[in-house]
Amino acid sequence: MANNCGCKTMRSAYPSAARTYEREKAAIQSEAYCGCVLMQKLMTADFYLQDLKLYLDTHPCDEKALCLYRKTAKLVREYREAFENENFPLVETSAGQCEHTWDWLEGSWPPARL
Amino acid sequence: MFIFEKRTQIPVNIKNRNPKLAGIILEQYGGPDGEMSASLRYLSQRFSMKDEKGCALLTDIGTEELAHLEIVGSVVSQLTDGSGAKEFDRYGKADYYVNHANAVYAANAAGVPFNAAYFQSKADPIADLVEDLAAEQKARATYDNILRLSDDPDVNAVMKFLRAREVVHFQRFGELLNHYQEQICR
Repeated sequence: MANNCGCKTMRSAYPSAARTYEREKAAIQSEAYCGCVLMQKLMTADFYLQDLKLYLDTHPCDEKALCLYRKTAKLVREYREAFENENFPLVETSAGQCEHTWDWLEGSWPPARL
Repeated sequence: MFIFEKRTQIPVNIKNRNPKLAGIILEQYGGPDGEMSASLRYLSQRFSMKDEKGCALLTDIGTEELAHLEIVGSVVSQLTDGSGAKEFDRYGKADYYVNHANAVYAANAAGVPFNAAYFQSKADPIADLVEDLAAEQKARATYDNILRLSDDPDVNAVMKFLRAREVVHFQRFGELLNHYQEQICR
């Protein structure tokens, strides 16, 4: 399989992360996850991304962290898109899919319980 | 610029109603060491940071603090969801209710409104970063106090997460301070 994140050392640097990505991508495509699970996974992956982002701000040349970041960012996009397709738009660029109603109004606005 | 995503950073699901605990949690909404103070401090200081590392870190942590502000506001709001005047009065929070009903208002637990005097922005990287280190510790200590006061498991789970993030932010600011101190020494 081709390099998923464009990073040549991915498989040797973080083989378990590569496996996680492939496993999760397959699970998403086979619609194994319901909305609640997708939201939970999105929150977890995006939090990991946020933490890596702060670390990279002060360690910009850490190649392993860069590699992990790229992999996690792809996963976050997959989860978000899968959630939005079956539930409601999470970001403005995903809104406007319904022909007759403004779908941005849908979903859980804070302080709604998630 | 700021982009909004329609979710909180972590799930916020408070099952119990408690206007008194809501008043305590409000300390981290509009209080001196709360999330509003933190986000405005960092998002102001970032304009005068000397390099991209400083700008990036201040912006990214400031943005995360805004997400935390949203979480704290959600906790306060859920704790008073559907609570009326009598319930506020029973919990001793009639003076909040008379002004705000069960709305979320930027004040601290004692009712002191939010104030920009809680933070500084001095275009001096050492002054700014040492303040930021102190701010993270003050926030962490306030979360410690909240955890001593609260016995609601849903609320405490959220408070523990926010407290842990303050510790990580402290670490990152320390690294940035070291970076600037090394530059000055060269």
